[in-house]
Amino acid sequence: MLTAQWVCRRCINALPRNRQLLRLASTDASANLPPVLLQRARNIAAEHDKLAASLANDFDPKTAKRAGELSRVAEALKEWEAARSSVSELTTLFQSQDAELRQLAKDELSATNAQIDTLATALSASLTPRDPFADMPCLLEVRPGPGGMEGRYFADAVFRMYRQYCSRKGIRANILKYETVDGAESSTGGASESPLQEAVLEILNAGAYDQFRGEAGMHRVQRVPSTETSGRTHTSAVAVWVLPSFPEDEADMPNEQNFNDPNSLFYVDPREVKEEKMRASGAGGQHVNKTESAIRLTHEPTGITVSMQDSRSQHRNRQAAWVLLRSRIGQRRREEREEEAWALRNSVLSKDKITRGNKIRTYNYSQDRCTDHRSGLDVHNLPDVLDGGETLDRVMESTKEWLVKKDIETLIAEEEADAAAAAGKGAKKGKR
Amino acid sequence: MPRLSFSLFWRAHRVSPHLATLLPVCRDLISARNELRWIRQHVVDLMSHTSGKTRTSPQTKNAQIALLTRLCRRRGIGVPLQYVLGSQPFGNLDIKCRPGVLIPRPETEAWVTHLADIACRHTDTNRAGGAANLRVLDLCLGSGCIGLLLHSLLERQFPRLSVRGFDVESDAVVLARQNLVHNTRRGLLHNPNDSILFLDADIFDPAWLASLVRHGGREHGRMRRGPVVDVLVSNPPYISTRGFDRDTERSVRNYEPKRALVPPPKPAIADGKPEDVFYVRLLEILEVLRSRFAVFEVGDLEQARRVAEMAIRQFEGVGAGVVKVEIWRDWPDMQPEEHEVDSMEISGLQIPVKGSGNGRAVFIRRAT
Ligand SMILES: C[S@@+](CC[C@H](N)C(=O)[O-])C[C@H]1O[C@@H](n2cnc3c(N)ncnc32)[C@H](O)[C@@H]1O
Repeated sequence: MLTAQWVCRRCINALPRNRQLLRLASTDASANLPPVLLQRARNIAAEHDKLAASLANDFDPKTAKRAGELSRVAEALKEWEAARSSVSELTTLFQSQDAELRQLAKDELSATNAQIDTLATALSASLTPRDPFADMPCLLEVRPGPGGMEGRYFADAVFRMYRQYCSRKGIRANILKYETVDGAESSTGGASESPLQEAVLEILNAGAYDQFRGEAGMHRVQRVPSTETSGRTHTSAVAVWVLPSFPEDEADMPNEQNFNDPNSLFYVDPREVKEEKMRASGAGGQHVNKTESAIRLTHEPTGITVSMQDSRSQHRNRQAAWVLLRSRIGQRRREEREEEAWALRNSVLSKDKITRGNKIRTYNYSQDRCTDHRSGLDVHNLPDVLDGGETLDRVMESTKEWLVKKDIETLIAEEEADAAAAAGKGAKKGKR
Repeated sequence: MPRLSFSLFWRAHRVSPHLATLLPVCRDLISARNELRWIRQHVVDLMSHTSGKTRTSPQTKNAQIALLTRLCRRRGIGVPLQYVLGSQPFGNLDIKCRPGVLIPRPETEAWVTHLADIACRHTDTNRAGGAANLRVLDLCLGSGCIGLLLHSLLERQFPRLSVRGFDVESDAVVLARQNLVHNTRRGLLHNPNDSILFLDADIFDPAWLASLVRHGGREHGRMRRGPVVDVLVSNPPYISTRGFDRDTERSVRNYEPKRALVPPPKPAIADGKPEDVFYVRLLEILEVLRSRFAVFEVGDLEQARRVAEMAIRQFEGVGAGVVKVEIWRDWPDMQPEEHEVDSMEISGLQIPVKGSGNGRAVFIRRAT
């Protein structure tokens, strides 16, 4: 019996008096916190305490850093354990003769039990590896999926949605790139839309990457385009990419992702980048005053290209192009790295990897509905979603919870696989 | 100029009549589309500033369309976009532009940025007293773009930076001062204790130079042998009369001030070309001021060669290796193309030619 492990002695004493409560307390804890995770958390907390003790005697920045990393888990474990022990204490109060006290304990206990749930999830989440880009700002790229103008118009709506979302939330963002193709504006669902080619929003707040990473993927729309005379519903798709980006002040760079360091994922050797500028033909300088500010960068080893012509200043276009190029290269390298890691493990874990091709969300105009396919959340009031309103908060929130859940599941699978492997080894050794 | 094809017009017109209006000046759809977008953005910015509302009423919508149409027409007949919009981005600054004063060019932006990098790298800021007070002199100010951008790029590293600028046209000086205020207000520039000063002067005037030296010397309490100004920069008029008729774009010829582009005839120089007169004077000034860095913008590689040669001759006396001359192309930090030489022999010296593009500036460095 696995659950037995979680029942402390004093609770067992209480068993005859209150069967039901005991069951509640124990199953909840075990459902939310599998033994492998608890074991891992305890190991980490032990390491943390050891480091903290050694720091008290003699300070070493490296040890301090490591201790800092582990403290998240240690804290979460402490809180969870505190809640657990107050459950057991409350449970003993059930033996009390005092009816009032018993009632008090009962109320308190149900509150604490609810709390344990949250604490167990927080503890599990603290164990999951933190995304290396989590603390960084990000770039959010929007591009229409293949086929038709309708996807382009909806891409514009999606881009606007995130812009409005940022402005409502007071998140600092600026438009790095906004490129449309020829074609009239259209207005479907009240807002005017331009046929988008590609747009990039730079979201400057630290941690924006973590906040928006769940938005990456295919966003599907089902609606009747304003140009459609027969009233037929079209389905098209828009791709959203979320790339890590850099703080304005390099000193704020987290995770040693400094792009001047050749070991960084974002390091780009300028000699490997071909820069092409749009040039005023002829003599240039004082002879010409036409604004030809377009610029194109090509990273030759990967073939990644970025072109930029948003600003009247070539200088600014160049800066923006470099920002985008670095982010794309960094993201690509990371994907390659993870690809390798996954291939190495060759496990079930890669199944749920969010690939760019996956459809993650549907916006259905006629049903006034937005569905997140990962969390399974359905919301209505589509206009508010597309205005970046509070309904979008709910959707994004559900995505984030889903991501955390996924991360925890992955972690459990990994820990169990490791444990099984260790046991297997042990068994073999035993046989020999 | 070749005529634009009818089909191109037709394509532009189908997207927007404004695009067709812009096409003759812009020559191709891509730049016409860009310019239309910038004009639109300008109109939206202007209107949202004045009305202060986010929702556009039908009246503002109509006013916007009327303004957009008017601006596109102005641009369509050849008025430079920067005069139509009243500004041009320059580095991180926003420079106001007005007819009568030259529009800042991207090539100038490129060498100014490159120079700022060099000044930062080659100045030991830890040296006591030495580096904290970098003095910059911008001659032939125009809009003030060069001096202002240098200030904004250097003010962090040099807490006691000062920039002086002079122009013979009071219109230019007035605009340069407005640009100072405008960019300071936007937080793009910090100007504590009037570290930036723009004044009227004719740089050929001997009395002006004398007062500059007197003033520079007095700043330190006594006359010194060191530099009076650390960085001397200038983008003077450099186009020949013939070049003005033949090589300039029509909107330059028709709308920008000729006095900012073509040097006035000066009998002073015997063997030189008339379009080089400013460099003769600038080198004299440089010799007097003993600046550590100087950059003069030029019209092409030939002119760069002539100016480099004049500089080498001028500083022959100061000793080998004390003064170094380089030529910079349009984009000094870009890889040169295959056909672009990276050095030139001038007066028996191998002079580096940096970057890619036309010959654009002569850089003179003096060891102190
Ligand atoms: C080519 S514009 C350069 C403007 C500005 N520095 C820029 O880069 O955009 C040359 C400027 O030199 C000024 N100028 C012409 N003759 C001058 C003189 N003798 N003394 C001072 N400035 C003069 C003109 O008024 C004009 O503003």
